[in-house]
Amino acid sequence: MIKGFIVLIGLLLFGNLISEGLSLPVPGSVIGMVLLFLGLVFLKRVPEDVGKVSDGLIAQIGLLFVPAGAGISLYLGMIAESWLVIILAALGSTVLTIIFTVLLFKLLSKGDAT
Amino acid sequence: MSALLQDPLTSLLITLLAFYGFGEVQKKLGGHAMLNPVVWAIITCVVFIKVSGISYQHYMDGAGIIHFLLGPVTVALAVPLYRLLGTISKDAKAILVTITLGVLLSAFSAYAIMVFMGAEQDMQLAVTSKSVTAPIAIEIARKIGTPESLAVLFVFATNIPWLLFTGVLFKTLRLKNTQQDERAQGLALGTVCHGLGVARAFQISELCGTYAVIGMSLMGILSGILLPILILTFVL
Repeated sequence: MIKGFIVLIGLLLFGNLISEGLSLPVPGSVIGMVLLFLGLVFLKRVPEDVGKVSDGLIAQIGLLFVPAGAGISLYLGMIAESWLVIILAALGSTVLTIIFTVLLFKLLSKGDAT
Repeated sequence: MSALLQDPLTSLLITLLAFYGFGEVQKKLGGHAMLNPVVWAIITCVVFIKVSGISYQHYMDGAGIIHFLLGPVTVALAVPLYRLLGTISKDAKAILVTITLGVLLSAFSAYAIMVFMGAEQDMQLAVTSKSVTAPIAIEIARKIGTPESLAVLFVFATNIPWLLFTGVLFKTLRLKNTQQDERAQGLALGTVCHGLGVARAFQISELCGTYAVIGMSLMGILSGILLPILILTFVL
């Protein structure tokens, strides 16, 4: 368990340092994710500890964004004013992108090659 | 009572209890998407903050320990993506082209509607990550300086109702039960409706669900790279 956390926290810290040190727009955690991905490709396997900790965190991923979500308590007025815009933007963009991805993937993929 | 509210542990405990409690309710009632425990736990915490009169900052003194794990879990998302590398490589070009264009279309169309409707700039920017899995949407919000909570609001409050209509949408598109159509549906559900889309896709089939995880992971990683670059270059 500890080894897995050391890898995740270490890569996160490293990603943050790269992001801030080079003033990159990409978040440090996303850089950390890319580095972990490349590391796994290089190793050609997922080390047991890293797999265990990652699966454990991801299994409870929903809980992790509850505190950030509770921050809407600061914007209730704004949300009450713009609920119609919120719904229209979400509906329009969602329907459009679903249709687009389905049709484009069907066009580009190799058919029932699986 | 005030001693209880002063203790940050109260905020932490309420967050955990609400998430666990609504998770149990959803399980008991057959896993309906409208009973999503994250959404109901957020509502519970907002009500708690408002009714008790504590500040959001004070709430975060306790709940912040959960919030802190968003960074490590984002790094950890590399693991499921790596495990699907074999599946992705079978059709890598189609998957990558579709999702890259999906990132751009999803963000731009939502942004354009917001601008057209004259919404505030925070809303215009926060809506661009609405199809990105929440931990990465929050990281993007931090980078572009919009409120994290608005990012979460768009990720959730918007996608749940539309998930109910995707069945109708897929029927209209005349999708059949062939493998290719199930892969296309899964990819679309994961790309556009992230975690909730993945859950829905696994109800259709294992193959559909696998492609939804691919869609969600690549959408997250590509958005995490492309959206802050585009927004910081062209908008801010």
